[in-house]
Formats: sequence, C-alpha cells, structure tokens
Amino acid sequence: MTRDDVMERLRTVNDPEIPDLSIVDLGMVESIIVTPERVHVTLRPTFIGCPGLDWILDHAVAALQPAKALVSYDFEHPWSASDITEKGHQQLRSFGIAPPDGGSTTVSCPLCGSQETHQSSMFGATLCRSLYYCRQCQQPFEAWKPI
Amino acid sequence: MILLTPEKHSALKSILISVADDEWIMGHRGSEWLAEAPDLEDDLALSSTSQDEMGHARLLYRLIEELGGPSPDHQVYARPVDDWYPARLVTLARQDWAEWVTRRYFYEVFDAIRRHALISIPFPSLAYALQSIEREEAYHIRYIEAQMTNLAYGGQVAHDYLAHGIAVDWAFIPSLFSWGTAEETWQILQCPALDPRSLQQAFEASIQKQFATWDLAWPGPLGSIDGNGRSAAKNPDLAQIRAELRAVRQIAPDSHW
Repeated sequence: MTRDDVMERLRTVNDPEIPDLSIVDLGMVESIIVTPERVHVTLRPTFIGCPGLDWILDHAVAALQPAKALVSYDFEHPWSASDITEKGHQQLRSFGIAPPDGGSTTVSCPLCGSQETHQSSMFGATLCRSLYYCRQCQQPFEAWKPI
Repeated sequence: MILLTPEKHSALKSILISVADDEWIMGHRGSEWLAEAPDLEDDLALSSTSQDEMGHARLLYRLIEELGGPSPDHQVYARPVDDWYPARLVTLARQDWAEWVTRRYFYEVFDAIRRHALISIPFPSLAYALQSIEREEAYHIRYIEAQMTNLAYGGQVAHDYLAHGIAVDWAFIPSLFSWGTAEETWQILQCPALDPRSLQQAFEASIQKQFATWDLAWPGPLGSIDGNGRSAAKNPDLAQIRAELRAVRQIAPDSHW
C-alpha cells in the first residue's frame, strides 16, 4: 500500500455528522507513514471533547484493512479550522453549514450567500458549530466555529 | 519529560489531577441541567460546554498517564473516592439556576487564571494541551458573562437570585485555590503563579473589576485557604457524584466513553 492508497482509503471515512465530508477534507490527517509491516496514520482531533473522535478512529482502521493500521490522535498539534480544504468548504456549504472564514467578522449565508446574517446562538447541535440566521432569505443555518 | 526531575514529575501529576477532576465534575454537574435550562440556547450551551469540559478532563487524564499514572478509564471508573481531588465548590449539589450561573462564572474566571499559571510549567505536552483547551474555553467565558449580565440587569427578583447564588458560592471559593495532595507542589514546580495566594489575588482582582460593571456589591473578604478544600473526606457530595458517574459502567462493563 502506498501513501496515496492510504489517502484514498481515508477519503472514504466521513465525519459522522456531515455525511459527504471526509476526514481528509476536514484537514484531520496529519501524517502517514507506510512501512512493510504496517501503516501509521496520525490524525489531528478537531474539538477535544468531540464524541465522534473514537468513531472516526475505528472507521479509519477499518478502511485501511487488510493492512495493519495504527491510527492515533496527536493532541499536541491542534487542528485549526483553516486546515479544512477548499473542497471541504464546498461540502460544508452544500450541507447548509457556513465554513469558517478566517478573520472575517461576517458569516455568509451558505444558502443564498448574503452577508446579512446574525448569530442566534454561540453554541449549536455539535461542539464545532454555532447557530445563525439569514435576514436576506429568512433561513436559519449553522456555521463552523472559527477556532 | 527529560525537562522534569522525578520530584517535579510527581508534583505535576498531583496538580493535574486537581485540574482534571474540576473539569470532569463541572461537566457532570452541567449535564444535570440539560433540558431544564431557561431556553434552548442555554441548553445548547450546556451540552457543548459540559462535553468540552469532559473532553478537557480526558485529555488531562491522558497527560497523567503519559507521566506514568493510571489510564483515563481507571481515573473515571475505578479510582477510589479518596483519590479524587475536585474543589468543594464544583461538587456542590444542584441548587437553583442563578447559583449554577454564578458557580460556572467563578469557576471559568478561576480556571483561566490557573491555565495561565500552568503554562509556565516546562512540560511541552501540557503547554500544547492548554493551547487547545484555551480556544474552546474562550466560548465558555463569553457565554457565562452574558448570563451574569442577564441576571444582574434582569430586574429586582433576578438580581436577588444572583446575590443569593453569589453568597452561597462565596463561602466555597477558597476550595478552588488549594492543591489536592500537598500544598507545596507549586514550590516543587518552581512556579510561583500556582501559589494559592497568587491565584486568590488574581481571582479577586478579576472579580472585583467585573462586579463593578454589574453593580454588584462586593461579598466581603474570602475565607482563608484551608488544605481541606479538595479533601474527599470533607466533601459530603463526592461519594454520590462518583456513584452516579459509575452507574452505567457498572451495569454495562463493556460500555465506553
């Protein structure tokens, strides 16, 4: 198995709550080392207490079978919202979640693109999201927390 | 770890256990309010902040394991009650919403001061962990300050509830500043910012400034910092919390986090 093969397999492991978003596009894959004996994958955890972390780990190991995989989290190099790829941004938008826009104080509506939005709750349905409302299209939406 | 002598190594473990236990219990106590908060936004905040705190605790338990201590699983599910070191304040049984808001507010202010002190310990894994924790805690403090503002300016009844919550918690604030196992741990680590008196001074300065903006009366001098603030033997609520935390695991031994 080559490094590219590993990456390809990891693209099939999605965030458990955003079905089309892979952990690769989420920017969670930190390093891949392939040795004749096994594959070592290091992932960056998103939010420390995210209940999906163990699930993702198990699914990454399963996706790499029959190769023997050692998948672990590196808590020393924090994931940042800026690690999400451009494709990841598009997938978040198509799922109705505004991707983090580094440094910008306004959040664009993922549905109509308007900047006439406001935060209705700092906390959302998961650790990584806040709730917003769009005054242009009158729709609620979620936004990824910019950490 | 090459940076730490064996003595500092053990002092660090005993400091981290207090921090982790505080986070774990705050997460647990917060979850007791789920679905009963004043509105849905507060429920969302409770579920996120409680989950965050439990995640922070787990990460700190992992660091203790890295330092040669038992596993996070053992810490939460198998550790004898006498080896727990949460501050008395965080373990208090559930009272009213205003008391929960003030407890959370006092805890977040203290916890930020403590994190800033801990970062000076030369243990890279801890410094990295604190950086990640800090980014999430920024949301917690903003949220709880807004709740304090709501109560402070929410009319006379709300103000009275708030004053009562502050009075109840104030008596237990000194328990935050003491260190669980041995008071001299901070000296072994050569980290003066962890001196209970320094923590208290920084805490009082921070609270004083904010109380002025909320028009809240200063509750009077804090009691003295006694070494029993984190003592399991002196904590009438700890055994009950531990039993609740272990209940599911005891029914289903294979269940996990």
